[in-house]
Amino acid sequence: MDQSFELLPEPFQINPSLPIYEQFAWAIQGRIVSGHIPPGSRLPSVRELAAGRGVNPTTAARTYQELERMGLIVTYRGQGTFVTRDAAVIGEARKEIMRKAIKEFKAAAGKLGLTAAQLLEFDKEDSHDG
Amino acid sequence: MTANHYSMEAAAGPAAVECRGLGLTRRKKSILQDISFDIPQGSLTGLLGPNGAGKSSLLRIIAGLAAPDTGSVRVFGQPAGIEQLGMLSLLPDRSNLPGWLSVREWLDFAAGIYPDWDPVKALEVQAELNVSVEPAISSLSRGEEARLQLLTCLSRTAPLIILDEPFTGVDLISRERIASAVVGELADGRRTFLIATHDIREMELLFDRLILIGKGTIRSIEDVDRLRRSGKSVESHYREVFA
Amino acid sequence: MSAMKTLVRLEYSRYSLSRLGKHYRLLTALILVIGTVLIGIYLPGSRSSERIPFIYAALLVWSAVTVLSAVSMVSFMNAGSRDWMLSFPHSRLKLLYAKMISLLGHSLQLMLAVLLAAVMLYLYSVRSGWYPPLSMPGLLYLVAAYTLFMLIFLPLAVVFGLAISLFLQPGRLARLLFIPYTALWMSPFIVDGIYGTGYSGAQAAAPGSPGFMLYASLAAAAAGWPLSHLLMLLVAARGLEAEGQEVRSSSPTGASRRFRSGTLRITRNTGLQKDTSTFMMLYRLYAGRTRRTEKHPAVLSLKFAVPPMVAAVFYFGITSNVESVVLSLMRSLFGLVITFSSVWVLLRSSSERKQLPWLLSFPQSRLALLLSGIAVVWTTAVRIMVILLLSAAAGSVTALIAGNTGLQDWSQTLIWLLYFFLFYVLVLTVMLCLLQLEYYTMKAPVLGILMFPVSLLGLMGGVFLNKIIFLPAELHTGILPDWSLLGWIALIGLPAAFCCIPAGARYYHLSLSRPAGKKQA
Repeated sequence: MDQSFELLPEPFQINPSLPIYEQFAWAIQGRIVSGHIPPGSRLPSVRELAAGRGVNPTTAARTYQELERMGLIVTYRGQGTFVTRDAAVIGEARKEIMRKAIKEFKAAAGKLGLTAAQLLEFDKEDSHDG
Repeated sequence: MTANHYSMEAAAGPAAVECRGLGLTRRKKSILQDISFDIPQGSLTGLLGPNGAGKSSLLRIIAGLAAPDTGSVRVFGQPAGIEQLGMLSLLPDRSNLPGWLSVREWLDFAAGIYPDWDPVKALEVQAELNVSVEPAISSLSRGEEARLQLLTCLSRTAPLIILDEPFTGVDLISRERIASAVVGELADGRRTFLIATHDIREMELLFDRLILIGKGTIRSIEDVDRLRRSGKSVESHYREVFA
Repeated sequence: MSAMKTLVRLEYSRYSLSRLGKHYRLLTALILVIGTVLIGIYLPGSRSSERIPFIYAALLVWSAVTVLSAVSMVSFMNAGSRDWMLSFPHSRLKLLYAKMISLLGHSLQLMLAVLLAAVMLYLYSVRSGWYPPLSMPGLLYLVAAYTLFMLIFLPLAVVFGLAISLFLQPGRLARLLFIPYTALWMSPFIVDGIYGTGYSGAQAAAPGSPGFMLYASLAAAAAGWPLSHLLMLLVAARGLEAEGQEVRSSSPTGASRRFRSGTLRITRNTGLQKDTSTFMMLYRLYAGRTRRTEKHPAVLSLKFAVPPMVAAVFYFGITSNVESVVLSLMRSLFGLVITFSSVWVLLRSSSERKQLPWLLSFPQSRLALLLSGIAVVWTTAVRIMVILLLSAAAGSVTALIAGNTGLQDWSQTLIWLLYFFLFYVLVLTVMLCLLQLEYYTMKAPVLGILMFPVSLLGLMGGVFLNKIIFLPAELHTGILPDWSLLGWIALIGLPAAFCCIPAGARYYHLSLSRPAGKKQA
């Protein structure tokens, strides 16, 4: 299948102080749920991913294992690795990302001494003024 | 999530390199003391340390080019020595290929000299590293010669590859090419790499294990993923150890 | 193709002249042959017997091959490609034999050229009527005997030259054996210096006769070949060890240590005398290297052993009325000093390769750089010669005081001694300057061919000169040395030679861009 998508967002900054496969898996998960990588797409091989990013192949392999564990990708022996076509799984992953985003949003509001609702209210007024 | 659930972990069999209590003294100066470590097959181990830490001496001993005063080294279970040179592919530090030859001539010679030379692989790696065969070796820039040296190492099927400072004086693009060629080789899972380098930032994403030596002793042996899970990068760990 | 064959070809390619192209190769051979013939014609010994050209050929081949093998070994030990070659997955003995066989190939070509020159010299001598021609079978027998002899000792000479690496290993007792080793190296010339043309006698069994050479070949094959194999085993086991990394003066520690000692000295001195010229600083920098060599146990023991020996030899020589023998020995010693200085200069250009970018980037003129380098060699060589001269003089004075010789005989011996000293100092000066042409000749590969006879002259010059300058067999007849020869050399030779220094200095930098391998073959 023709690859018309980027596996990882460009530019992608790796933080060398955190496990790299986690960073990769999280980013790819985001690309899948947002539709940047359509369901059923064939992903690059472990070797291609590793060589392209200059990381240890083990890191690339772990990334795929992580995504596989979540059910987002499936590996068929001899054919390659594909994004799942199971909408329920993708939906579940989307929910997880949303939960995480909300959590971060709430945390940011908390730092300012506000609730999430207050912060959203401010946004509404602000965009009216603008 | 837990570690050890990935399938690429070392194949069965003896460690690629097994050092036990290595000591080396030259001219009454102690160069290495009580060095012990294992390098599992299929891993990419970074050998890091300040200048003069004894990295090159250690690699020479592993390659069988020098004998330790105490301790032992085994390469795939066999005592290290000249007989083991066929098992490993060494890129020596600050060395040159025969400068009086052209690249093509050297590759022809290499094919005859190394019993494990793989001509198909040589062509692949040559294209990957973008090595041109016409010029004389003595006229190559450092980066070009470094790539040719790596080409020589990778065109063999030897299961252990030892690179001693492969990046010294090599430009950014050449570094990237070299790093990605190394990754390509490693992905088959059949090769073991041991790389001594100063270029931590360039290489830290590649290593899965670290051996830090300073003043001739082992300062730290780390699994890189474990390091990152504790919130440290290779670089920050290096600073911690040697600061 | 077998790995051995590849290894041999790789080694062979290093010094192969064929890389220069067919024309250069022919030209080199031609210059070599003609040059050798010309030198042969001017050697007075050539006139005495038809065996002499071949004896000289054998001597020349022995020393040239040992020197070339030793140089190739030393340059291998210092070359950047050493670690690569040592990590080839083959046994050390195999690597060493590959080196030996390739050198044997080169030596064979050299031998053929020299043999050709010897035959030409023979033909020339016969035409000049120096001696009656041999019958055709006689000539063929002579040539065949010498060819066989050279063929047999060629492997010995190569292995012997390669064995130099044994003595370069650091911190080994073997370093002490360096003296007998070099003595063996020069043995043909020492023998030649002592016997003179003694083996030119017409008796059939005399040393140098074809029959004798056949026996010598047999002996060399029976004893020498097994010995060389043993030596090869030893060199493979001990001489190639990568621990020799400390030998490798190009390793940064070695180089920086050398520089450091030089600079320390400079700072210490500038405190005392501020007007130390930059030239002197450069001189001291280079001299630091010599000072280190002088601390070598072998050199130290030489330093203590040679002067008393020379004095003793002179004392007994004068006492037993064999002044001319003693003087010719002295001449050989002076000649040796010139040979060593030339080897030093020739090796210098390859050994300082790694430091050269630094040296050349000193804010100094190239002339000062080159000159200070030569000056160190010159002063060291002259110092040795002066010590030899003084020791000899001391021996002769003792003989005079002991009443073993008359004042007149004594003064005559001393005059000859002084004459030789001055003569060899002059030749040394000319030679060192001439060798600087090396840099000039890097301008073009054609010129490189020029360098071959020049370096050969440097290596062999001392020996040839022994043949050229006249020394009467009986000193007491009152024959005085030909001082005008000295005058001519000083008048013509010196200015011409001095011109070579600026010429070399101008192209000093070319040795940076020169590919490492392309030294003279």
